[in-house]
Amino acid sequence: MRKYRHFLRFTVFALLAAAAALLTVNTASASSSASGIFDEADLLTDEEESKLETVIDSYTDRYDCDIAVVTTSDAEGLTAQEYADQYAEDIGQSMSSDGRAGILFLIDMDNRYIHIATQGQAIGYYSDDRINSILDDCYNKIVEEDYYGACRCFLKGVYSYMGRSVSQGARMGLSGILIRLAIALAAGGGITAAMAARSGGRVTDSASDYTDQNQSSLTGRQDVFVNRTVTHHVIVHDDNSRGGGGGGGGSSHISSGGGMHGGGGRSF
Amino acid sequence: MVKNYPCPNCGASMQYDIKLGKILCDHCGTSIDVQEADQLSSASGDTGEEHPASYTCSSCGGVIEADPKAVTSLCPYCGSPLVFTDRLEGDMRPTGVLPFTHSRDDAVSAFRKWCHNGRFSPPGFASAHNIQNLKPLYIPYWLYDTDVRAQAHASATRVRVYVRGDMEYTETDFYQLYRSMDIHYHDVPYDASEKFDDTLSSKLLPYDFSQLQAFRLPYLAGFDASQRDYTAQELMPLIEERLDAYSEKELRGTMAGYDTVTITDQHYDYENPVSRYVYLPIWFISYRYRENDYIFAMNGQTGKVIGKPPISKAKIAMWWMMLTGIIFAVLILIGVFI
Ligand SMILES: [Zn+2]
Ligand SMILES: [Zn+2]
Repeated sequence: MRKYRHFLRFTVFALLAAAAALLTVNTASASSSASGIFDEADLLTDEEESKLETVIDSYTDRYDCDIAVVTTSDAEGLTAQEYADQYAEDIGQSMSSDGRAGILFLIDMDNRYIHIATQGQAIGYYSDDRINSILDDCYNKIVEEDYYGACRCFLKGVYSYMGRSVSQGARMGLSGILIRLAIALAAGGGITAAMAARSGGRVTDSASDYTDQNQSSLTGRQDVFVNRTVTHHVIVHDDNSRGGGGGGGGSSHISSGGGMHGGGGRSF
Repeated sequence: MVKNYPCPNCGASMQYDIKLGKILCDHCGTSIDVQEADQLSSASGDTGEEHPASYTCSSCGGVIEADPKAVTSLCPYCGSPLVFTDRLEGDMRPTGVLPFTHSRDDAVSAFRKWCHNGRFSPPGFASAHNIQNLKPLYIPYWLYDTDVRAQAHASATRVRVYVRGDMEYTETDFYQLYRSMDIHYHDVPYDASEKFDDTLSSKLLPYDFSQLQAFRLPYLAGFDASQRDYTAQELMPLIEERLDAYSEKELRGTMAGYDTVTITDQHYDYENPVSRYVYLPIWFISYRYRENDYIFAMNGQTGKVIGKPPISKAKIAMWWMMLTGIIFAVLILIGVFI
C-alpha cells in the first residue's frame, strides 16, 4: 500500500511538471503575433479555437514558422487572394521570398472562397501540387460547413510539408507509419512464407523415361478437311488521346503592398 | 529360415556397404563381393513351419518376433543384420535390386538442408536423436514392359484472322484427324507396397534402371525391406491408366499444326505385357507432430528428395515478427532521411 501511495505521489508530481512545461511553451510561443487564429467571421467555437491554437503553437515552434488561420465575412471588396496577402502582411508575416516561412489559411465567407497564402521560404515548400492536395481536403470539409475540420486539414498540410523541399516528399504522418508497418508486415510475412514453403516434391518422371523410341512408330495418319466458316465484324477505332497539364513548383506573385506571396485557393 | 553374413576373418556379422558396393565387416574391415557372401552365409532356425511368426537368430540363437511382412531385421540381442530367406522364395523373390548409391551421410545432409536445420520445425525435429530414425528401405516395385497399339480420332481447327478495310474476318477450317501408333514401354515402375503411398512413390521417380542388379540376398543385409502386397496382375489396371495418359500425349504430339485439337475417341490395346519384381532404394523418416504425419523420403539412387517438413507456428510467428521489425525500421529510416 505504501508503495502504491508513493507511486501516486510521483504520478501527480509528473503530471504537474508536464502541465507546467506545456504552459511555459505556450506562453513563450504565443508571443508571436504573426501566428494565431483570427476568427472574424466567428465560425469556430471557443473550444475549437483553443484546440487549434495548441497545434499552431507547437508547429510554430517546431518548424520555426508563422501560421495563421483567418476567417472573414467581409473581404472589403478584395478577392480572397488579395485579402489573404494583405492580412499576412498586416500581422507581420514575411514579405520577402527568402524571409521567415509563413503560411495563412483564409476562409472567406464573403467571396465564398478558401485560400492558402504562403510567405517567405514557405513559398518554396508549398508547390501548386501540395497546395492543391491540401485544398482538396479542406474543400471536402468546407462544403459540409465543417470549418473546424477544414482548419485541421490545413494544419495537417502544415505538418506534412513545412520545412520540406519538394524533392523530400511529405513528412511521415500516422498514416505514413501505418502504411510502412503494413508494408513491413506483408513483406515480412511474404519472406517468411517463401522461406518456410518447400516443395513437397513433384512428379518428375514422364512418358519419355519409359518409351522405347526405337520400337515405337506412327502406323496410321489421316487429316481430312471438313469445312470452313468465316465470320466478320466491323473494327471500332479507339483513339481518344488526352493532353496532360504539366506541374511546376510553387507559383508566386507580388501583392499590392509589395510583398512576395505564394499559394492558391478554391471557391466553394 | 534366417541368414546372416559372418566375416570370414573375424566372425562378426557383415552388412552391405553403400559406398563400397560390397559386403563389409565393420569390426575388422574385411570386405567381400555380394556374390561371394551369398555362398558364405550361415543359416539357422528352420522350424519346418511354412510362415513362422518368430525366428531364431542365426548368429546368437535368440528368438526374434518378426513383422508379418518383414524380410529383414536386426537381431535385438546381438545386432546382427538378418535376412528371412523363406519369405523371399518363389514368387516373393525379386528378380532385381537397385543398390543404394547415397549413403547415410548423404541422406543426413540432404535432410538437414531440406528442413533448413529445423529453422521452422518444432524443437527436436532436426535433432541428432530424431535423425537416427532415418532408415534405408527397399521398396517392392513391379517393372512393366508392354506394347501398346494406340488409336485416336480428333476434331481440329485452324484459325486465320485478317483485315480488309474496316472489317475483321475470322476464317476457321475444320478437320477430322486419325492417328494410330505402336508404342513400346519398358521398365515402367509401380509401387507394390500397400503402406507406401502411391502419390509419394510416384514423386520419387525416376530411377535409372540400367543400374539394376540381379537379386542376391546379401544386398538386403542391414536394410529394411518387406514383401510386396500386390501381384503384377492386381496393379495392371493402374499401370494401364498411367500408360493411357502417356500414349494420349504421344498421339497429341503427332497432331501439331492446328490451333485446337479435341480428341473425340481413343483406344489403347495392350499386348505382350511382361513384369519384373524388383526392390528399389529409398531413405525414409516419418515424424508425428500435432496429429499429423510428416515424411522425408529420398530416392536412394538419384538423391531426389520429397516431403514437407513440419512447421511450428511459434517459430513462424517469431520469424515474421523479426523480419517485420527489421523492414519497418528500414522503411522508417528511409522516410526520415529522404
Ligand atoms: Zn571381420
Ligand atoms: Zn542375434
